[in-house]
This record gives sequence, structure tokens and C-alpha cells, in this order.
Amino acid sequence: MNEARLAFDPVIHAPARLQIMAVLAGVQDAEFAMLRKTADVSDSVLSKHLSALSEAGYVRLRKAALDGRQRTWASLTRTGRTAFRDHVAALTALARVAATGDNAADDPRLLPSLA
Amino acid sequence: MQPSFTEAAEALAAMRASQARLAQAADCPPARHFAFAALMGGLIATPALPSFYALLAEGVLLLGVALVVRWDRRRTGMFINGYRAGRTRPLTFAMLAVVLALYATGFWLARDRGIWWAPLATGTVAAGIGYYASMLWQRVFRREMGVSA
Repeated sequence: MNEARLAFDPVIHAPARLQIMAVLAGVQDAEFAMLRKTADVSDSVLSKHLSALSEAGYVRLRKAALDGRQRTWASLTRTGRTAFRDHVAALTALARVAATGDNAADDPRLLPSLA
Repeated sequence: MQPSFTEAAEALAAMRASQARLAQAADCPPARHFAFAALMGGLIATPALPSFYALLAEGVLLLGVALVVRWDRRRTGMFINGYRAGRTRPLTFAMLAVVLALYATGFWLARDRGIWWAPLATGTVAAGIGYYASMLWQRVFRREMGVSA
């Protein structure tokens, strides 16, 4: 078998980051407070994860006024969108194997998780 | 690095919970569907006006689009593009095709056949389609985000 390994992305691996990416994948852009609410994380956690995602080139951050106050808006970059799609596909494949009890031991893409 | 089976399932569940919260936060009030329908109907009706005024009206309608985008951002703290990739995209393009056909029909009837009021009729139909499509779009989006419509 020469199938490619599942594309798990260490940058998106943290659950909070996956949630942030999932919200941003559904919108063109989102404001900081809205992201905090939908991803269900604190201000500081969101800030830290957004910085990490931005440094990885997955998220674009910009400041813009809303109701007279400067706010932070985030959006996914093209690279981020691709990385998110691949990571979710890999997670889904892994979860499906677990749910159906397929021949996981025969699948070379899953070997590390069985070790 | 590879998560365990359980971690993968838990990560996906948490992700879907976030998407469901997103879909609920993005819900549009009837006024938002109406605003979209009015812009759509207005655009299709513009050939009823003489060329100069039609262009002027289209400019005003474009300003209206910008105001609706601003309203969305203020109301929800986000903007969701109608052309976004996903299950909503076929609906967007189907609606666009129907509305463009209505525009072409109204334009042809008014300018070539002299039926000046035809764009008003096609504009009314487009507004109705716009309202229904806007509601349907939201329902498809909610379903895509894992929320039952």
C-alpha cells in the first residue's frame, strides 16, 4: 500500500484552534467577541491561539472600527482553509475507523495511533 | 503527531458544536431577508427607467448592498459571503441564473418591445424569488453547520 499518510496538522491540533478555524471556515470574517462566543474560549486563550494561527499563515488579522471602537477581525487565508480541510478530513477518517472498527491495523496511515 | 481515535472523535464533536453556535448566531431576521429581496427586485426593475436614471438607481442599489453588509457586521459580528464554498453555493448560482434571466427578459421587453412596465413585473418576481432564496439559503447553511432547519 502506498497511500499518503493522514494530514494531521500540528498547528490546528489543539481543540480550541480547531474550533476557531471551523468558525472562520464558515464566514468571510468574524469579530473577536463573536469568535470568543462561538469557539467558547476566554479572551486570553483566543488571543493566544489567533496569534499562533496568524504566525502560521492560516489566519489574517486586521483592525477596523465598529460602532466607533477599534476591533479585531479575523479571516482564514487560502493556506489556512486548505490546512483546515485536510486536517478535518484526516480526523474524520480516523473517527470513522474507530466507529466502524474497520481494519485499522491494516491501514498504514493509522499506525502511529495504534503504537 | 497523530491523535487517538477518541481524541479525533472529541475534536470533531467540539468543532461541530462551534459550527452550530455559528449557525445560530448568523440567523437573519425577516427584515434582513426583505432587504435582500428589495435590492434584488430593485436591480431587476431598473431597465424600466431611462438609461441615465437606471445607472443612477443601480449606483444607489450598490450602496444599499454595502449598507446591508455593514448591518450584518454590526448585528452579528461577522459577514458570510453568499458565494462561499459549501452546500449553499449551488443555490446561490441557481438563484443568480434565474435572476439574470429575469433581468435580460425585462430589459429586452422594455427596450426592444416598448413594454416599459415589464421590468417592474420581472422585478417583483425577482423580489419574491430573492426572499424565498434568502430563507432557503439560511436553512441550507444551518443544515451544513449541523443545525436542523
